[in-house]
Amino acid sequence: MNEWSWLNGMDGWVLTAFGSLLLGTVWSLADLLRQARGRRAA
Amino acid sequence: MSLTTLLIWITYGAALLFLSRRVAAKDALSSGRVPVLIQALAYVATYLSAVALVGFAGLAHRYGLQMLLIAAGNAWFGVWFVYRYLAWPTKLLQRKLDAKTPAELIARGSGAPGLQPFLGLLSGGLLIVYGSAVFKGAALMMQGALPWSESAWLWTLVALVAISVVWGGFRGVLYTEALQGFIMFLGVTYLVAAVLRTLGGPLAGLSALAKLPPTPEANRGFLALSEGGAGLNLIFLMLVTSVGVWAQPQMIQRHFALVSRERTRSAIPLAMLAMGITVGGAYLAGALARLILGPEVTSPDHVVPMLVRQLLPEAGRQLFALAVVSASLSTASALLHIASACLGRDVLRRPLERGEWRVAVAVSAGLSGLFAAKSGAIIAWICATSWSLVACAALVPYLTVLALKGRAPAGAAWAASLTGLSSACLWHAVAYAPTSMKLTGLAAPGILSAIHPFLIGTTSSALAFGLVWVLVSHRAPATVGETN
Repeated sequence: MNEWSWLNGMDGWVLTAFGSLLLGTVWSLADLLRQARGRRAA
Repeated sequence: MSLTTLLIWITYGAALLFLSRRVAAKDALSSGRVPVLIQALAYVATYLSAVALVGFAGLAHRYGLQMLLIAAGNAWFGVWFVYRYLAWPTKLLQRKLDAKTPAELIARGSGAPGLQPFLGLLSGGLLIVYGSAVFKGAALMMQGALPWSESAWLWTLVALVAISVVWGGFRGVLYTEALQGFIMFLGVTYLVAAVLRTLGGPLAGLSALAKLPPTPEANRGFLALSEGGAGLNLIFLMLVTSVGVWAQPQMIQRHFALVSRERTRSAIPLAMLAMGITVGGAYLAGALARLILGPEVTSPDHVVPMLVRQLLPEAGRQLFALAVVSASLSTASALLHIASACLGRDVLRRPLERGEWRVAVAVSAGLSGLFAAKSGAIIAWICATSWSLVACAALVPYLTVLALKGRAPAGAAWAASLTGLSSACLWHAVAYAPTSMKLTGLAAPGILSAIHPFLIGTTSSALAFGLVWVLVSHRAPATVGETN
């Protein structure tokens, strides 16, 4: 069984919400890393 | 009740009081310099109450993952947009106008001094009543942790929060909220990890949730937005909690603690992370709880407590209880602080020096406690509507002050505020079925009865603002801007 089959049952609204939350988390972590590197370089 | 449990709660209360005392600034309405991490966590802790962590997470058991729309809206509109576009301009204007409260900022910015007592009285009054519901919720939760009477817990918590607000002022409130925000983050993370471990990982959990048959509430399954009124309600709930939050005075006040544009930008990822994981995690756990608890749960409010009892060990249960009480008390301290400032400074025009500040907090806390003890239909109605009423009265005046820097006439701000408030009240009373059916027995026909008063209030507020601006500009162009 394909373990990603649940994606077929997810509509655009929920997919957008779910995806944007994941994206927000990844972006936030990346930005914090960038800030930490900037502070270290300074 | 074990000795360890008692010690945990005593330490928690003592830590809040100690922190308030330790970081207090001289002025109860000023924060001084506050680190970015504290700023970000305090904003999220003020934003989220136990309604989100327990009530809305419990609703996810009934509605499924569509509740993530609210979480995403809160993270992107309620946090990212606010910090990206509203927070620093608010701080600059506050500094320029030397405003101590959001009502003072709006009134001075729009050249309408009378707006300060009006918005102060409205926000102060509504937030004291709203705070009573937050205190009552926290007392009920504490009753579950330590078996005292509800009334004893209510007044203990009111006293704890009042003392910490008196001692710490705005700066103390920010620090205690940050601590509570961090506890909330830990508690939810722990719960989500336990849920995912029980279900064999996120993919297995989502696959199982996708296979559940639709129900009347989740009428297109648990991974889709419902059709009809349920789906529409959810979108409105997202708008009220994500956009309505822009104009809540306790949230606007958080921007007053910012120190520079760069540091405001650095707060964004921290606040986004805290908000996304805390609220997104809570709703995800609530939705997946259906696979663990089954469909038969008497009330959505029981879902999270049942999940916690079933999955977490004793230490985890205590951590989550701390998280939920933190969610309530952080909101309560923000509400108590802003309500005291609104009533003392905006309405009575007092400078709120030390003695006056104590009296203002004591009166607000006492009223909040009394409302909580005497809860009735009117109080329940105010609690359910206060967020949208404050937003409808203040959102357009606030945004136009930021955007137009006082170039619009004072009458436009007055028109926006009064029209927004009255149209939202009217819609709540005679058209919006969830509230109007209980109040007057009337409702708008068909799908119109599901349109939230927030939409009606803010739209009519914006129209009133534009209309008065055009009329005044047309009739007496020279007077426009004279008040600035």
